[in-house]
Amino acid sequence: MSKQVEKEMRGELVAEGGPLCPGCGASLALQFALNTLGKNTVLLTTPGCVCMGTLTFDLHTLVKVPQIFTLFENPAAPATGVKAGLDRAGTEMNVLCFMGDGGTVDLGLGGVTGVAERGDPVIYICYDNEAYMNTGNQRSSSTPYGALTMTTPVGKNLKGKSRFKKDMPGIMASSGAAYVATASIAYIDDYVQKVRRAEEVTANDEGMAYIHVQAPCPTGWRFQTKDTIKVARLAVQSGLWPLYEIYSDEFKLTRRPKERVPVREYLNTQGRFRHLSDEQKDLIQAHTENRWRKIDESR
Amino acid sequence: MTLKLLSGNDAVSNAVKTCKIDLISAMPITPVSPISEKLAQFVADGDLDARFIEADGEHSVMSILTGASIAGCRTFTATCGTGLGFMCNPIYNVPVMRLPIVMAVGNRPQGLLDFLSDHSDTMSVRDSGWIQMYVENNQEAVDTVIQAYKIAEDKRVLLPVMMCFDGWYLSYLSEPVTIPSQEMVDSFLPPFKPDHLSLDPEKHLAYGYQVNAENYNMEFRCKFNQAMERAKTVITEVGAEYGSLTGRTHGLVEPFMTEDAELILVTMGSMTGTAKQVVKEERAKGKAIGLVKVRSFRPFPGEALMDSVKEASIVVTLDRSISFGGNPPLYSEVAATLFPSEDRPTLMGAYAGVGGRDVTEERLRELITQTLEAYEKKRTIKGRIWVGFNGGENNKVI
Repeated sequence: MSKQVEKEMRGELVAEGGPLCPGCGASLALQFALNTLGKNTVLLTTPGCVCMGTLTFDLHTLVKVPQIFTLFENPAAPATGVKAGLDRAGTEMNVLCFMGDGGTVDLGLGGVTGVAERGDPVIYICYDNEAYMNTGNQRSSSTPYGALTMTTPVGKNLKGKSRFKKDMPGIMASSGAAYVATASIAYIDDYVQKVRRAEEVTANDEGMAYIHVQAPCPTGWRFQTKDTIKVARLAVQSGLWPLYEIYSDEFKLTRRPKERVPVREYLNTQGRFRHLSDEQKDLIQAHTENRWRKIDESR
Repeated sequence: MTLKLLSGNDAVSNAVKTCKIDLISAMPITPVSPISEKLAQFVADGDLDARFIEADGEHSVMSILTGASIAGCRTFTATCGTGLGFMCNPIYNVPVMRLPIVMAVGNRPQGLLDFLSDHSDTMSVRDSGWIQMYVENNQEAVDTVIQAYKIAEDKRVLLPVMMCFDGWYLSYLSEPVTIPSQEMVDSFLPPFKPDHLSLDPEKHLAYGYQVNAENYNMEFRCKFNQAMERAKTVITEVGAEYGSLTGRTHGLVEPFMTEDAELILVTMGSMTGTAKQVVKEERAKGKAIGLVKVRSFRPFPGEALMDSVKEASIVVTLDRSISFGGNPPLYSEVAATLFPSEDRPTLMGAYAGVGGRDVTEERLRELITQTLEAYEKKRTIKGRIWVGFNGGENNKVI
């Protein structure tokens, strides 16, 4: 974190000692998002790792902002109501949905795109740990190709997930979100700037701001807890996780890897890809090259 | 206050308009779509100072209302049938957070066999913690919507209310209706100022949290149940106050010609009007028939019902929904109410209006004859009687 970004922080709003796993990527993403937005923020969460980590049992919470626990499949619509209610009372507050990929990309997709289409000025951050982690690592439609999960196991007939993940930021951009960005916890300055940008866009009532942040999960992805940032960085450096933003229909890369490292370097850090054949790894490499070709063509 | 000829949908929309609503969200669904259309038009024309949020599904509707209610808004929606089914998950979250949301449900069967009128939609969420009030006609729909906010927002209650009015029979039927003046409603219904809801960052409260099963969970549920019990008093008080302003008093139950009645029909919803007509005619012929309308189904007013039926020899319940493989909801409640009394009346139960089957005067007269005959032969009809069943006498299909 640079000095500049350090100055941007508006307090420590997530208490220490929460029940999230050591090395949790989502925990970092939550801390930086909340500390960037400050305490004048309503936080909405759904069942999932972060919810269980922030809304703990026995009437205590780890987060020092007002908080609403919504249903798994409706992460976004309550935020519309909260924002409308605050507006009516003349109260200016950030409304932040901080949700996992299961609630966003699978169950809640209709409601999430509904907020974008209506242009409700809500900040939505999807922390993508690429599976249903809180229930013990089951496949979501955001699980990457080839990954081992409890419901895409490795056996005689199946070698991990057989499909590529949904392009959720693309869905949000085409659904009418005013601001869409991808982010990584290995590039905190970039992430914090994007959260700040989301705050501006929603404060100006331009519409919904959507940030899709990768949240490496040592427990589910099977890597050592000390390697969370390394894994996140390799995802960006290999080109598997491009960092960009889309604002006013303009696509802008916010960080271009000088030279993309082979995806194998990223895949080899994690146990969930250990079974991959050379063919499968080549397929992921080709898919990545193809994606960058499209990115370059569009510029 | 002048009489206007209004469909149930228009009547409800006009009633909602008088309640100083902050936020409405709704989806189109037959037969209540005109409610949201009308409210959207009121907002568009500037006749109603509220936000109208077009949603992307009933699930989102109830979620939007949840968020808005936490932020201090008085909210409204209307739905029915499969729409209510799609809303089911967030419906259960509303009482848990003690949010006084009001919803009109134009009863329509659950499942896609048909989309006429019965109570299987609202009965599927009878245990959700929402207050459920079933109305007889469009005037009562108007009166109940206005009262619903006062009941829901009462600090002794703080629970959401479903105003259940039969789809088609009421929602599309035009009847003469009086919409109370804005001044009257303003004097009756104070502004919504919830003490228990705040998004103040200094307080940083959490809503919808999980609690430890051993410490709090059962106790919270007990409290919801106590609030439901207190709602009985509040419904009665609010009904009486409204009656003093309008001359129309509604309570938990409404007895009709029950004095010295030998047989009492127990009804809910729009069939009550037809049944009252039959009761009047049978009385004129010298038969001692009476009727009790159950207006509040949740909370279920056992004591009030018992007071109304205890002198009768026969009680016949008319259920507009089926609990497949079990006893229907109204019959079950009445049976449980009567059972502890030693000299209880004989109870018989009928299905009437299930799946939208018309409940005609003729069919009701047949039901009365059939149950009286059975009673005179000193027996009861053990199975349920299917009123208006095709292809045979009512009870022979069991």
